[in-house]
Parts: sequence; C-alpha cells; structure tokens
Amino acid sequence: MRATIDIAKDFSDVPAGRFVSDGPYSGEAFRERHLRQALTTGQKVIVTMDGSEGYGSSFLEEAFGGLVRNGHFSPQELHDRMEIVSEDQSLVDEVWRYIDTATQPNH
Amino acid sequence: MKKLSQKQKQYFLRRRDLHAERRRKSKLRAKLRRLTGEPIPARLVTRDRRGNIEIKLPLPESFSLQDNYEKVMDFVNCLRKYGVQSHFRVYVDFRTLRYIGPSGALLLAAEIDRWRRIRGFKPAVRDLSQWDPVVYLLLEQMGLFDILEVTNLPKSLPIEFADISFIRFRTDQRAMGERVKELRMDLEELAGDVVPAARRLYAGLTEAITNVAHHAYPEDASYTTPPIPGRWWMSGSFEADNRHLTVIFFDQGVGIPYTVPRSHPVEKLRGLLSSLGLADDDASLIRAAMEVGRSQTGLSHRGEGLIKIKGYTDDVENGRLRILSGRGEYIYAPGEPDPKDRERRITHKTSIGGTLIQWEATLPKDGLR
Repeated sequence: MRATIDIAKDFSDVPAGRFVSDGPYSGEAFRERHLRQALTTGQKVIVTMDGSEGYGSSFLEEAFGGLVRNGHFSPQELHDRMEIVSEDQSLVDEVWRYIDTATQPNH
Repeated sequence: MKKLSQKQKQYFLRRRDLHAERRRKSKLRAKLRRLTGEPIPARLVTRDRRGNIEIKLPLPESFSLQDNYEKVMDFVNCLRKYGVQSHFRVYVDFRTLRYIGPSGALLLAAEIDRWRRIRGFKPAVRDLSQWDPVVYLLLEQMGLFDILEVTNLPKSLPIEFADISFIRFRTDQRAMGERVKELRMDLEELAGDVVPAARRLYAGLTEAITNVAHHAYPEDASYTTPPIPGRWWMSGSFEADNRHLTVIFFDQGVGIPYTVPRSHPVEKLRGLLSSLGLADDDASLIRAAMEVGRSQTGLSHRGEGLIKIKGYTDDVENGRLRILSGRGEYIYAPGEPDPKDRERRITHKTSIGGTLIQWEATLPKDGLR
C-alpha cells in the first residue's frame, strides 16, 4: 500500500517558514498535519515536491529533518518508508541531507 | 520725540515680528535639543502654510544607496530621529528629489511606513506639482501612495516615461509565501517573460522572511529607533532596455553583524575571519555568516538561509547579490570577468539600521518562455 502526498496540491503551493508561528504553510505544519500522519500508518509514503513556488531551507529542514530531531523516526526508517520525488534532483538530495544529518534525541 | 513715518513704522513692526519668530524657533530648537540630545539645524525648522512649526527634511537629489549612501542615510536618520523617535511635525520634502533607485525606494517606503504606523497618522502629499514627474511616476508604480494611505492624492497623474519600472511593494510580519508569488507574477508581467531560476529566488526570499521572524528583532536588543517587530518589506524593478531584473528585501532589525558574534564563540569567529583573510568589521561579518552557514543559533540544522540567498546568484545570467547590514556592504558577482571584482566588501560610516538584500539578474534576449 502506498500513500502519495503532493505538497503543492495537498498542502500549499507557497510553503514558507519553519514553525507554525511563522506563517500558515510552515514546515512544522506540513510535518505534523500531513507527513507524520501518513508515515505512522506503515504505508510507503511518496512525497511529490514539484508544482510549488519553491522551498526555503528552513521549511525543508523542519518538515523532514524534524521527523528525526523530534524522535519520530530514524533516518533509516525514513529511507525504508519514504520516497521523495522531484524533477529537480538537487531538491531530493537536499531533503535527504537534512534527514541524514539531523541529530536524533538521546533515548 | 520725533514722530515715525508710515514706512518706518512698518519697518519696526516687521523687525519685531522677525525677532519674535526667531525667539519662537529658538525656543523650539532648544526644546528639540533637550528631547533629542542634539542641536537642530536652524534650516530644518520652518512653518507650514497654517503657521505651524515643523521640521522640514528635504530628500537628497539622488536617493541611491549605490552612489549616494551617506547622504541617503543622513536623511533616513533624520526621519527616524525627528519623525519616529520624537513627536514633531515633519515635512518630507520630495521637491528636491531627482533620482531614486529601486533599493533606495524600498528603504524610503519602509521608513515612511514605520513612521506612520508607529505615530498612527496618515501622511498627506504636498507640493505635488513641484515633484520631478519621473520620480512621481516611479513612486506611484511602486505603490508608495497605496501603502501609506495618502488621502489627498490628485485624481490626474503626470504622464512621463522612465527607463525603469518599479513593481508594487509588499510588506508583512509573517512568512507569507503568497507575497513572494505575487512579486514573481508582477515581475513576469512587467518583463513579459518568466523570472529565471524562479524556485531558487523563492527559496532565497522565503528564507530571508523566515530569518526576520527568528533573528532580526531579538527582544533583548536595544533599538535607537523603535522597530515594528517581525515586519519586512519587498519590492522589485525591471529595466526593459537591458532586460535587467532587481528584487529587494529589507528589514529594520538588528542586522547580521549584531547576530553573528552572539551565536559563535569569539575564538571560533576570529579564527574563521582570519582563515578567510577578513578583518573584524561589519562587511566581513556578513561574508563570514555565509561561510559558516550557522549565522544565528549555532545549531547544526539552522542557518543555511544565507547560503540559499546567495545560491540564486550563481544560477542566473549576470547574477549579483548585494547585502547591506549594519555598516557593512557585501557584494557577490560571480560572473565578473576579473576575480577581484567577484566579491567586494565595503564599510560605511553609517549603519543602514537593518538588513537590505538585493538580487539582480539579466533575462536572456531570446527569452525563457
């Protein structure tokens, strides 16, 4: 089973900001309202990045790196369960970089 | 006693009135001096048509941060001191203005916007028939009058043509990607072509906006001029002849030279500056902030913003990035043929009182669409 999240269509084509307090379409909002919920169902999650105006690093790091930093998933779990899709390979690489370099909380 | 002639009476009356006026102005200047701590030049103290005493601030002939930085900042600091910090009537005299560049225009709009928001008043346009018509046209294009809610704008506008077109300002206090999208669409309508590397520009602009929310207005900082926490301003321009595009972003926060030293150990920062061959000045700190990529928090997952902001410049034709923050100015132009001109740092006498970021690009002649 797979779940697809198209950021531009399902969330916003103008994502901006890191925290919910920054603005209406922040990285934190995307992570908590869409991404984390889809990942906890156990399905493979495909995240489509194309179609939006673009992505700032704060948005991406909080949305994706935050999954690891906040202790929801390990980088390996995300590699197993999630696929990032974009025509811009540098964007895909950037997302995985934030995931792979995020500091996991001490257990 | 000899009787005075009519002419002599009039002379003495005029002299009496003149002396009385000088005494009133002198008292006002003394009052202003007590409040501001500095002497007020007599030439700035005038009366309006109703006889009210006001501080008259003529704009410099050229409002260009590139060519006339110190005079522009002299004016801006006077507006901050007398308009925002104090409660005086201030008349901003546009009749002296003959040239305004896009970044100067955004700075001017932001300062007047802060002034009217903090003082809670609606500025009135005055002496419009004596304004330079091209300047008037550009200020109207950029939406200065819309944002300032000017109430007595004349219905008919002077018709003039300029080599450059400005797009309307946007301002907000939140990370609103919608505003950036609107800016892009306005630029594309003006240029008749797509903005090059638009997603990279969006990334840079939204990062600049997010940085304002998180770093630009720390609560524990002291401000000479009260800021509007979180507020930023954004604009752009297009020159049809050379297909030159400019996007400008501005905030009135503490500036990069303030935040960088507070987020890194002194020894580490000095080491970095030394390794880059940089002095310990504002312009070098802007450069160092980009290199470090952790400009504020020292946390590994924060601070790639300036790198993103710089990234756009590498992807476009004739890309140029200019950052003014504190007293420093950093210019990055990777396409310059001489390597010495690809990065420049300038230290000004006066702080800009915030951070201004300017991106430039040239649209290809055969278009991108």
